[in-house]
Amino acid sequence: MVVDLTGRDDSLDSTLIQRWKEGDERAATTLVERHSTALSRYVGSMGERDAVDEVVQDTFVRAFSSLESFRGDSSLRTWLFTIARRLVVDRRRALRRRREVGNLDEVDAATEYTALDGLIASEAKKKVWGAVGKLSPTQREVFLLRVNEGLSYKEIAEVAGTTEGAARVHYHNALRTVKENLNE
Amino acid sequence: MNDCLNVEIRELLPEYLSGALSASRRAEVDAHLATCEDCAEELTVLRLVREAYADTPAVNVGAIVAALPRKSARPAMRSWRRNHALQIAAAISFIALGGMSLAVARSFFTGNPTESPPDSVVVNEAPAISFAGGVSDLGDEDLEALLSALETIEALPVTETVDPPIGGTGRQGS
Repeated sequence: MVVDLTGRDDSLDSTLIQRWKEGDERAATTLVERHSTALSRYVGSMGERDAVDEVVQDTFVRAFSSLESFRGDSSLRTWLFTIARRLVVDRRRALRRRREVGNLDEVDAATEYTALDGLIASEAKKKVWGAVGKLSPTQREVFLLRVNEGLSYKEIAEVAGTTEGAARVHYHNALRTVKENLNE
Repeated sequence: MNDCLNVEIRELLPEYLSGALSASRRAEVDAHLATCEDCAEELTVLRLVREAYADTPAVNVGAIVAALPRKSARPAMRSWRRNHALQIAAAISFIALGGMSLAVARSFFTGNPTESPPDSVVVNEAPAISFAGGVSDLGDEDLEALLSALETIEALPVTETVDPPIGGTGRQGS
């Protein structure tokens, strides 16, 4: 059987979830394969490059722990992004607390893309990262969820905890800013 | 670079890029892109962004799957029970009714109504009973009497009750 690994077929997710509930462990593997790439890209774009593995794994563990109660009001993909985002926010909060007590090596998570990645990246990539990096955190998150993951404004609103209208405005403002930055 | 005034098409560009559009919608966007320089440039920007973030940090799928909570059989059994609740209830009722029928039949044939009156059935105490020669050995009158006796217990409550005085109405909880 050829399995769609793009993660966009919600009905396939429902089928896999049902199979997992009935005890088919292979369905869990397929679900992870379908969504782990997009999740790791999202977590990486949030500035958590060094913790992608950990955050993505925690996301799936949390999701599967409460999959019995997943009602499918939103798509599995949107739900996973929401969990991942919450984990990133919690992680940042914990890091901030540790910084406040002064026992943390200062690392600016938002600029991690310019460190090791910058050494091997093409000029074009660096230019795009620079342009996107000038966006506000909210604009950047909305913009990348729309462009990279193809989420609708409604899905973005669910993930980012905002409204559909606000997500649309953030996207278009971000797009305008990126265009300007690339043309500089 | 300006923004095209065709907002509907511009809104479709991310989906166009990710291949999520239907064939007809894709053709519509293609037709627009052929004549709109602004949208073509915007699509180029979006494509550059996607390519810049295409190198995804690798994750170990095997390790993730190994860390997932195991799906135990119990929830599946609970789910099975939930899905078959009606059948289970019907089966239990059938067994209980069968036990009661045998008890009534025994009291009918032994002529001792105090042993198990119709409205004092204790299901788990219903004695195993067998017809020595089988139902086929009963005469017409006996069979009719047996059927009449069975009809009287159709509305019996399923709950266990204390033995009523002999000569009770035989009906409760209606």
